[in-house]
This record gives sequence, structure tokens and C-alpha cells, in this order.
Amino acid sequence: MQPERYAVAVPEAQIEALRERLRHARWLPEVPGSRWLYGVDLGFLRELCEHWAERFDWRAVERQLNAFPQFRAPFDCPNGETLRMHFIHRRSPRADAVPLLIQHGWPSSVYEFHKIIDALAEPEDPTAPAFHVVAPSLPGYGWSDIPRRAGLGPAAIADLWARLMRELGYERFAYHGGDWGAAVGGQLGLRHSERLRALHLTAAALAPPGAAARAQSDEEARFFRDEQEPYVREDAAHRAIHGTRFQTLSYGLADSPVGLAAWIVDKWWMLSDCMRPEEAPRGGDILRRFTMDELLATVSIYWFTETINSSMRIYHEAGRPPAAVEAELGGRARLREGERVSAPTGFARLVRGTPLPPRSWCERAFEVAHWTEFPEGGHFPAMEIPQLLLADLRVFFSQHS
Amino acid sequence: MPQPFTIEVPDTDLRDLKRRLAQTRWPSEVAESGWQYGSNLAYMQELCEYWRNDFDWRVQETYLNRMPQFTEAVSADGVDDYTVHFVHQEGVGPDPLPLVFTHGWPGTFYEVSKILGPLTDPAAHGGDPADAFSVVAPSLPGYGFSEIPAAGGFGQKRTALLWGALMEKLGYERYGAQGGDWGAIVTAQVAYQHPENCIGAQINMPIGRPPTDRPQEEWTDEEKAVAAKMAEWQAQETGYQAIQGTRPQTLAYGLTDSPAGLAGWITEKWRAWSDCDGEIERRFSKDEILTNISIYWFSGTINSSTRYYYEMRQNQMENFLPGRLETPTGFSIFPGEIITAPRSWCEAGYNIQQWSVHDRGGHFAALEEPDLLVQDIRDFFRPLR
Repeated sequence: MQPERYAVAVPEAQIEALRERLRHARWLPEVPGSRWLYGVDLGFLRELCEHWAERFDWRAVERQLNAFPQFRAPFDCPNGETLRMHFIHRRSPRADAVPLLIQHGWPSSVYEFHKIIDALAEPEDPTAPAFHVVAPSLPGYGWSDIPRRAGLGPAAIADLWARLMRELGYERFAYHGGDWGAAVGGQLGLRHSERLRALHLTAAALAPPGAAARAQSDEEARFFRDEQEPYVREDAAHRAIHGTRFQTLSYGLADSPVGLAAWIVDKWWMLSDCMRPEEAPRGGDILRRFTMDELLATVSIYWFTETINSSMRIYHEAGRPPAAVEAELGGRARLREGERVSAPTGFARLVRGTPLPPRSWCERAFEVAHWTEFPEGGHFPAMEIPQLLLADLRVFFSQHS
Repeated sequence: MPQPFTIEVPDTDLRDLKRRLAQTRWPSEVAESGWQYGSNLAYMQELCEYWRNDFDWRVQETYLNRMPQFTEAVSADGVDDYTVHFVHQEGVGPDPLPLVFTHGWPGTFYEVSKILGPLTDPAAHGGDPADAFSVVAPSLPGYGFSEIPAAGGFGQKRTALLWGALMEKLGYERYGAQGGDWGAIVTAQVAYQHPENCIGAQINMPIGRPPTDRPQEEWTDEEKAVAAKMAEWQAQETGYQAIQGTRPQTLAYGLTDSPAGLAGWITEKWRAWSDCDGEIERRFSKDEILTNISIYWFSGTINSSTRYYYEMRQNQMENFLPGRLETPTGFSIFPGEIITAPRSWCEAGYNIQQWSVHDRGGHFAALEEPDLLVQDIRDFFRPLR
């Protein structure tokens, strides 16, 4: 592996072309006053896209990203291709630093971690643990290459990152991830358990084998009935379309920045802690949790790298469970009999986001060593509640590194 | 009084479409994946290039305008003066029977274009003038040139009530109904809601429920095969329903702004749901595919059309038939149909007077096999007239 230094530099012409598209956007007719009832609110999206065209500063995002050492390195992949993978590698100056891989999911990017990377590597408090931080872009995401062939699901990605960490000189490492980052983490736990010091996850991407996946207590039954089932029914349609016909969807998202923004922002709205109870499930104010600039940084990364189509493929690669068990497993991969993640695993339960089953259920799939109930925050904790997340990572990893 | 309606897309809209097509930014694609993950990239590029350079909207517009079209404000189900766009052609024969034809998604009133002549003037198409129909083919709420609903609640039951009001305004007290896709559900509802007026429902998409009185081991081979086909359909082909039923507007931004996006979303369905053996142009010419897509594009109705799925999900009990339809019902069964059921599963819900099984044709029967469908419609209604 020969990592090359990488810096993000989008040509000016692409930025101008984006602005031109935004200024000529053709907007849909809405049901007056419907706000978020049928999907992303037209009024909000128009404001957001006007900000994108006229005031958003992409170069500021580039400066934020390029403040971190970034690399691309070629990997021989199990699908037969040699693909360059992009990653941030921020080494700690501290001699006692622990290697830590942090993995984003969909629809996100390495930008999700920009608020915590320096604090992880160089904590102000010298008694706090320090980390050598590695944050890769998933294959087909951001500045990692787009695979031409299928074959790079969470298990294959876990194998790639185990190699990446070894090449960087990190034999054993800690891991944090949510969403697809949690899926890759679970596969690392299954396939490379000897390499892991500890896993910190905000989602349980693995289901216990067989009947053990079913509810075994009133609390678990309540979870599946009141959280899992409504989520699958009302909020998980993106999974159904990504897992089957992502190509059909991609034409509009690749060609239309407002289409892309809507598709991505829908999830940052739905999964963030931006709604008061009386506003749920189709209200709230996304700007309580993120600035427009933060939302647009993520959308712009997908736009400039032209990766929305390739980013959706992981849903197909991961293998969508048949509809009949979808509500039960919620898109989780089911463990085989006898399988269990033995690495010490810490779970952080957020107020909103994809549903995390109760601890008792997770314990049938993972060696749960730590369980935190955050008082606030949603699916993108490194963006929404960076200080709470940092504190939890520090507590957990100082006990298990 | 119905107002005559002519489609007249402004030149500026045509220029804007061509400009957008010329600037299309295409997605990547998994190598050699064909149509496995959705609309094929090479085909979409070919289709959109044709749309930009060769497709002549004015020719298609003239063709569409040869069908007499009107708009009329109708009131029903608590809605006042909702403007419906519809084709209305009176029959040529001794006693034409009025027939309301309802299209589906992602179709438009264009679906009636090939059957309109044979149904209204059978003698001119080798048929018996006694089989003549006076055809009314409305655009569904939020589709084509019908008004885009400014409120929620415009589901399938309300549509049927609006159709009843429209037929009454046109002076039709006794009529039949026909449709597939959404048109199948609306057609059954038209009959159910207007038992005094609607004398028969002819449907080309059978919706039935698996029997609960017999365990699966006792099902016939046909029943088992249908159940397996429907399970596969549910698992692999219903992502569009999931998103259109929960977040239609999130999807619609890209499809409203990008003609390639709109074409990608619709074309996959026309290929997958027609009896074309994977070659869409065995069933539809590019002009046909693009005429339908262009109606969605120029009318700006992909958002409101997909909202129809949301409305169904919000009130399934009311929008599906609440009870057995006692009105005589006929079914045309085409092998390429996406949603299907054995006759035994439909008996409980319908008073079946016709079960006509064909060896060719798919979901878009009125466009794919107009002659077969017309024959079924004539045969079904002949004893009911």
C-alpha cells in the first residue's frame, strides 16, 4: 500500500456550474401548508438551495477538510478491482495514544467527524485518552474510488480496513461507528476480533441468530412494536429503494442538486433530535441541530464527487432481508448459530435515529461492556452532540483499550 | 358546462426541456448490470438523446388533441369545484353505453388513446355498432391536466365519487367503468359507490386476498405459484411504493427538476411491467414512452401523482373496497401483469361475470394489447346493456 497525500480541491468551474443549476431549479407544486408532511418542506428546501447558490462557501469546507492529513491508497479488492480508498489519518503527538478508526455511514461522509478529530488526537486534558484517528471514506463515497463491479459490502469493507490499519502500523485498534459504520464495525467484530480493542457503536447492525432475534421480554416486545415497526413502516423507504433499484433513483439525484439535497436532508431531518415530542413525527426544525452550511457541506460532497449512486449500493451489497423479516430485523444482518461479537462493545443510545434495541437484545449478539443513554442527540452524534460523544468515547475506551 | 380543452405547451417550456436534457449529468453504473439495479444507463442516454433531438412534441400534442378533451368543475366528498380534465367522445351506434375509463401510475389519459376509436365507433373498426360506448377518460387527481389538489385526502374513494359527479354532470345516469392499476381500484370504487348508476366494472388487474379457510398445503399449484410471485414482487419490486407512500415529495424534487430523472423513474416501470421480455421497445416506441413522460414533465405532476400512493396508505380501509362488490365484474388477465390473483381469491370480493385469460400483454393492456382489451370490454358489457 502506497498512501499518497490528498487534498480536496474542486475546480472553480464545477462550483459555478452548481450555482447555475441551482438558480435554474424547477420547483414542484406543493400542498399549501403541508410543510414536512409529504417529505421535505418546499419552503425550507428553497431557502436552503438559495443559500447554497448565493452564500454557501465551499472553499471553507475544503479548508476544514484539508486541515486534516488526508491520503488515498490503492487496495486490491475482493471484487477484482484495484481501488483507491480515501482516509483522514490524524496522528496524536501523545506516546500513549490508541489507534481509533471512525467510520461514517449514509448519507454522510468523513466531514461528519470534523468537530471531534482534533479533540480525539490532542485532548486539552492531559489525563484524557488520546487517539491516532483514522477516518476512511467508504468505497464509492467521497473521495474513495467508485467500484465498477459489485462485491464491496460491509464484510469486504471490514477486511479492507483491517488491512488499512495494519499497513498504518496499527495491529490493534478501537472503533467507533453508527449507521453503515456500525455495520462495518460489527463485521470487524466477527471477522477480525483479535485486532479490536473495543467497539463503540450507535446502532446494532447484527441480529442474534434464529429465535434469539425475537423479543424475549416485555421491554423488547415494546421496542419492536413501538419503535422498530413504525420506523420500518414510515421512515425506511429509502432502504427499500436503495436495496433494490438504486440506479432508477440515481438519475434525478445525479442531475439535480435540489433533488440530491432533498434526498439527503430528509434523513438529517428525520434522524436528528430536531423535533419536540409534540412536533413528531413530521415537524420540528432541522436548524435547531445543524446550520445550513453544515447540511450543505455534506450535500456538496455528494454532489462534487458524483457519488450518490455508488453510495446507495451498499444497501444492496449488504443483502436486504425479505420483507417478512424486515420489521423484525430492521435491516440488520442475522448472525449464524454460535456467532457472537466477542470484542468489548459499548453502545450509545440516542434520543432519535434508527432504532437501537434494548441492551438485553444487543447482549445476545455483542459482548456489551458499556451502555450509555444520551439525554439528547440523533443519528449523527459527532455533528449534533460532539462533546457528549467525545466524553462517552473517552470513558469507554479508557476502560477498554 | 364542460370547457373544451386543448393542450398547448409553450415554446419556452420546450426550449427549457431541451436545455436541461443537453446539460444532463449522468450517474455512474455497475459494469454490465443491465437493468438489474434499475433503468439501464446506456438506454436512458439513448432515450434522452432521442427526446432532445428527434422527439417531436408538437406531433404528439396534435395526436393527443385529436381526442376531444374538456375540463369541468365537479363537487363530491366535501370537495367543491374540483377541476377534472377528461377525454370525452360520444359513441357512434344505436345506443352507446357510457363508460368511464381510469388510467394508472405511471400512466396518463394517454392510455386511452388506442382504445378510444374502437370503443366509440366499433363499426369503423370492424365491430358491431351495437357495442358502441361513449367514453369518458379523466385524468386522475394530480395527474396530467386535472387540477393539482391543494389539500390532502384525494384518494381512490374520493376519485370515484368525483367520477360519479362528473358522469352525472355529463348527463350519464347509467354507465360502465373500466381500468387497470389505480384505475382498477377506482373502477371498483365507482361501481361500489354508485350501485344505482354503474352497471358493471371491467378490470384488468385482479386484486384478491389469499384464502384464510384453507391451509397453504391445500392450495392448488396455481395458488402457490401466485403467492410465490407476489412474495417476490413484494420483496424486490415495491421500493417505489414504499417511498411514494411515505415521502413522495422528498423523491419528487429531483424528478421535477431533472427530465432524465423523471424518465429514469418512469421508464423502468414501463419496461418491467409490460410483456416485453426485457426489450421495452418490443412493446413501446420511444415516441410512446416519451409522450407519456412528457405529459408528466410539462404538467409538472410527478409530485402530485406519487402523492396518490400516500393518500392510499393514509386510509387503506376506505380506499380499497370496504365490502363485496355485488355489481357484475369482469376481469381481463394478462400474463405480464404485476399484481395478480387466481379467480378463487377474487370471488369473495367480486361478483365475477367474466374471467378472460390472455396469452400475451402486460400491465398496460390498453396500450399493449388494445384489441384484446376492447374485445373483453365489449363482451363483458354486451349482456349488461
